[in-house]
Amino acid sequence: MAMGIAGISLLLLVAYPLSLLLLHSLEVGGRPTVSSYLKAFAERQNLVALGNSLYVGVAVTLLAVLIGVGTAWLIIRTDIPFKRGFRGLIFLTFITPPYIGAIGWIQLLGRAGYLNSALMRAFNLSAPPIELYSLEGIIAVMAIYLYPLVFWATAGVLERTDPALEDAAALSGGTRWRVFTTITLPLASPNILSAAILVFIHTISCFAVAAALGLPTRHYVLATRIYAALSHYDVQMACALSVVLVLLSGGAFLLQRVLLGEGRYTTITSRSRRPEPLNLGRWRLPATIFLAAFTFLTAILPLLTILSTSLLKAWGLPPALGNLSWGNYLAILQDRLIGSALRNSLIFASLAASAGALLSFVVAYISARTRLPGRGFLDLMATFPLAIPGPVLATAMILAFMNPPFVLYNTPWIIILAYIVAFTPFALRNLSGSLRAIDPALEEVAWLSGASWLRGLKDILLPLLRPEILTSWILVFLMGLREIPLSLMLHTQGTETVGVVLFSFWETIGVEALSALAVIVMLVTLAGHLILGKLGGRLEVG
Amino acid sequence: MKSKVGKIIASISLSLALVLVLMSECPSKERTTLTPEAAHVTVYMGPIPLAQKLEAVFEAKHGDVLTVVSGPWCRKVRAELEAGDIKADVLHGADPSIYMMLRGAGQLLPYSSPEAMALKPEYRTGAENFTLANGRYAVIVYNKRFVSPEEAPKTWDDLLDAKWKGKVVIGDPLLCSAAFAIACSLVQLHGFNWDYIKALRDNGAMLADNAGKAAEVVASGEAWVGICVHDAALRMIKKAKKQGVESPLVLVWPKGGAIAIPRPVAIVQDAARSDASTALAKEFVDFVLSVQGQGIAAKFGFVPVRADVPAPRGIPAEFKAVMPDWGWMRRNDQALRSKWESIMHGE
Repeated sequence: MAMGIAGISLLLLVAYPLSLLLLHSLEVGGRPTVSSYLKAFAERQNLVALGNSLYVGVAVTLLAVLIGVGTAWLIIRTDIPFKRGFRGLIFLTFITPPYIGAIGWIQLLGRAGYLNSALMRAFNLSAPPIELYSLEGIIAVMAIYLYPLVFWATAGVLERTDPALEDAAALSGGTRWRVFTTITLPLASPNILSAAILVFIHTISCFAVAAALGLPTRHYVLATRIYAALSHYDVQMACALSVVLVLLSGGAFLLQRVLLGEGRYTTITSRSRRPEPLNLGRWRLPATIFLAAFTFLTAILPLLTILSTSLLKAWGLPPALGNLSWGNYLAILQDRLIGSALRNSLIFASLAASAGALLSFVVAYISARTRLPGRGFLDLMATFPLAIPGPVLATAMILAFMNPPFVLYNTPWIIILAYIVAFTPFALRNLSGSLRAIDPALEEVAWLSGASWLRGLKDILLPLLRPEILTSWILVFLMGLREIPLSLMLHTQGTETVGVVLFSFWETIGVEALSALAVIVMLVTLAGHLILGKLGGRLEVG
Repeated sequence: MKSKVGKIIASISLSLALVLVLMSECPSKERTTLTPEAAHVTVYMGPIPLAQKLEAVFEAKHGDVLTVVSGPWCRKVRAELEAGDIKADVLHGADPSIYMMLRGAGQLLPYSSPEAMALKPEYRTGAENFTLANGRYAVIVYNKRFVSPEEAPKTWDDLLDAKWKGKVVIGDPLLCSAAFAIACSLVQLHGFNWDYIKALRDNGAMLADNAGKAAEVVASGEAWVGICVHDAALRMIKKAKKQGVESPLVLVWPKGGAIAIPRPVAIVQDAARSDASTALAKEFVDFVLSVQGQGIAAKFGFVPVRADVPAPRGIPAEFKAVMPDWGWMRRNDQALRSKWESIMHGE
């Protein structure tokens, strides 16, 4: 039943629009042809972009896993102080929208950025020593932006892993490191891999950072090539290149399945107790300083830059006191669209978040707990829309929902559905690893004691998964609140969203106005996060 | 026991659906104020503040007759065309290239507005499928924190000076149709010779994802000089002045001629549209071209296409302009892009 509903909604929301898109890419001038694909691969620059996308995607994923697992281990498993503070900072890193984050990094590390200017003055250099405009620059900025996803996924499992397994290994003479690499890490691997896929797919489809940091030195990735095709009205080429992104993400997905195999990863069993934190001893102070420096550089510094930009009277002025005012915030208050846009975005994003959390729970449950045929396909279908850049996904939604039988274009529905399709992958990848970590015996015992299937779910599984479900909700909500490209293509009069206003501020006023509104959006996200935390107990992401 | 889950899921979906239905009742113009016979026109136009102003003034006279989808609409229209049917009645903004594409696809309704008689000669195209409604020009901008007025570039060729190595920014022709027109015009201005582009490449030209973004990059000091559409820079300068500070941006109208990237207006072909609505669409086009409509656009930084409306502050009284060969660019889109790529990324 649940499988049926999940399957039908995925078919309608994902398979239907995207197969229409595929059909259109296979048709030029009314005739079936694969010419767009041949053309796509005949262009050498597309192949270069493919190589760049792969390089950036893999490097960001590895870096994000390294940072995410490392920070999670330090914060969850050791006696490092200020745990809540560090977790808060990691949350802040992620709620900074990437298009703003990239501008903040340019202010810090660009050719005229604070660091390069200081270095040039200090050492009397004629050229800036650091070049942010490179594939490596994209990799660094994307890895910093995305490692929190790995952090949450890993923290969730480290917090609740049954320490009996580790104790046993330690008793049999394993060193701390050996125990960590042979017991703890493998047990956390479903969560880590699940988040890694999310990071990989999100990286290869992300336009904003690649455009801001790659274009100045003429580095293209597939996402920028797709936007380029659309700018020349070549929908077929954009579709063909998007299919390549989908295939790449499908490959990553298969790799995950192969790596995980059919192993058992249950770490939360009936006898679970909380693990004792590891005493860092004389490493405690250095570790604290290191983590503090890292979070300061990756979370606080960019945020301070964005805050000071949001107070600038005009873009391009140095952030001196005389150049700052509340003018940009006052302009937001006076904007005619902002009230309805905020209301629309809050409604659209929270509906999408609720639907996304529900859908991803059902899909994750089916995929982890049942042997139903097609469960892997369901999982894949809910994940791969993440690989498709916003404007192409919006095109697919227009193809599917402009004409009968489903006429939803120019209603709020199409935006909500697009948000669900685009952002459910965040919820799903966040849930699916965790569900695997919970011993099915826990529910089975409940059923054996006479509880109904639903009761077992409600009393055992849902409480155990509550932090992950709430995290899933907030992730979808957050992405919906700040996204721009989907809204730009799908809104009409009356359904304008915050994304539309963000774009308008950027286009007609400048970066300072964009930053001010982005700060407001981040505050709204924080508020939502705190309210959820109050409602649902402590959150994984806080 | 499984049916219970079904019930729960059904009730959740039902409540979701209810919320959505309630929401779709929120005041949307089409539902609340329209009778099927009444004239009604959907306009796609940007940027948003300009669209809001045009809508307000037009509706003050005609009543609540417009649905305005404001913001960039090229990708939206392209997707609608792919899905079979453009939902707009009137398009306004962007640059001629999308109108050429739509005209080629037979999507534009020929209309010569009586107001078009008042157009300055350089904005008369002779074609009736779309009318050039706002003057917009690609010019040189520089950052006066780093560049003095004496050493600032005065001509397009000055941008090739070695002192700007790694400090010139232009819009990426692959990612922005206006930037494409700028690059092609630079080739055209140099006798259809690509050496200018090669020299730009050798001077380490930085790319930005659109022709307006260059102003942002130059203002920040990441580049010192650049090519950008004039209104983006003008708005930044005006905003700074309003706030009592001075923007570091300075515009230079190059001697060889600013490159015209005019913003057209056009009516979409739609057999099903009522005569009353088509008449209203024509009235809206007339309004955009009228003295009043042109005055509104001028406040936003666009150069009026008619002589009887004063140009906004910051536009020189006399300047030389070149009109890109839009037809040539449209016909050779693929070849020109390939040529650009082979220069910028190969050789």
